[in-house]
Amino acid sequence: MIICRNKQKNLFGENITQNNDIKINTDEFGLQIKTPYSAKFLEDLKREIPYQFRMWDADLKIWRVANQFAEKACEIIELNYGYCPEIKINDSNSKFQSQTYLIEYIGRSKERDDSGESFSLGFCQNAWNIVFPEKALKEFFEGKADDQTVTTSQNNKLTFYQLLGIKQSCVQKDIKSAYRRMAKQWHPDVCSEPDARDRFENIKTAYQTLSEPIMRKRYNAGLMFEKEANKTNKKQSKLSTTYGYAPPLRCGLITIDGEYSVGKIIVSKIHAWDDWQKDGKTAVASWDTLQNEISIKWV
Amino acid sequence: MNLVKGSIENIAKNNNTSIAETFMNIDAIILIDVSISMADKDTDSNQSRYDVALDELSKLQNNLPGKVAVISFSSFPSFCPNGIPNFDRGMTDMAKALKHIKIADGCGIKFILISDGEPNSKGDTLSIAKTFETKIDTIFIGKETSSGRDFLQKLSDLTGGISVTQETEKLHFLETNLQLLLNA
Repeated sequence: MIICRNKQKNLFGENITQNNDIKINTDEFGLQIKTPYSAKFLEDLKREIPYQFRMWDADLKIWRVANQFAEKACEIIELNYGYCPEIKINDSNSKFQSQTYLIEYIGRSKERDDSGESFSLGFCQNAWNIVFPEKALKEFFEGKADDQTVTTSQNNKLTFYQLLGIKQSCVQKDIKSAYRRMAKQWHPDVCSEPDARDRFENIKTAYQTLSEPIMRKRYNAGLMFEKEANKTNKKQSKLSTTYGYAPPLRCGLITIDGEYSVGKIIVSKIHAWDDWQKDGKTAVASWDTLQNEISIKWV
Repeated sequence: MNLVKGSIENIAKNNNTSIAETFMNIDAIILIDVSISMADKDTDSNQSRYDVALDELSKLQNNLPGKVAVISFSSFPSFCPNGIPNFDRGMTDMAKALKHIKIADGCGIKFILISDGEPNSKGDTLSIAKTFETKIDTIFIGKETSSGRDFLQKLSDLTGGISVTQETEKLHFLETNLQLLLNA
């Protein structure tokens, strides 16, 4: 149980009395904060509390802050308004394991705060309420960080393994099924993503190379040497294209570990990613830039 | 000069591909010794062995764009995608260098090892060479009669490769000899 207390005193050393403009309620996920507008308060809040643990509720015009940052939020309120109401927070177990969600679309990752981490948002149950850390996505598709192949900093090209959404250690028979899946998802006739055409061609090249054992061996050697050269020259970089990291799949039935936080689900680990299927067809989700909305096509 | 024309990095940039993709199309890996002895200035132009070798390797890459990968070695091996061997001036750990290129063994890439001395451990080097499917050709830089020459001959024999001598006074013919080995 966490208690935030008013610590401010006035010039006479007396406790500052209640400020009715500041209201804090609590629910099982955290604080609901209502304050007068202050640019400084917003700046402090966004700097001190990571993106995935805060949320602006536009309907109620309140900030929601996760329990684990309640004390920090109270400090920020006191600092900016000179007062913070006393509150009691019940610790709750918000973590879960192996739950499956139908994600209709996952966007590209980007940095959303100053933490240096990038996140993708997933659209589920009519809201952008599932947060996928880029590292969780990469770990699922590419393996642990040390095993992940990295692109060269000179042109940020995805590796053939990244294009097919498979780990470098995969067996040969998995390459064909990965190619079929990716070709379906990125075919420019059904995928509206801005780089679909290029990506589709690259997926074909990736398959042609990796499906030949000798060429795959040559390519693997090239990847190892490239990784070594990048380390030596400190050129190792996050994948940062003009658009941000796009997971190779953009929709599906995804089984995750995570935790509930201020109206969001923060993913910590992805266990499985199955196609979203209906009546024998598979969904291909993409962002239609003309309509500025998610486009779902069934193939 | 920080990028040799025709080097893997140069070709990758020109074609807007990755180094790994460009590497796939190489014909040979040149493994070049950059130990302290390569600083000797006993070439016919009074340049160091390293400087002449660098010029010759640059010529080779320029003539065979994207077909040659350069890996330098002394105490440690180092992949040089820009085509310029890192002049470490260390020891001659040939065994480590061979272990490093083992990942590219058996996929049709030629190996040519250039050295002017004997390795730290002859036994370890030969043990690793024995495991290679691919022949290892060698070029000894120095006099025909020196013991380092015998070792490189042995290494090539073990793998079915060719071994030649490149005297330091004629080091500017290195590129020619490399071309001959590549076409052999």
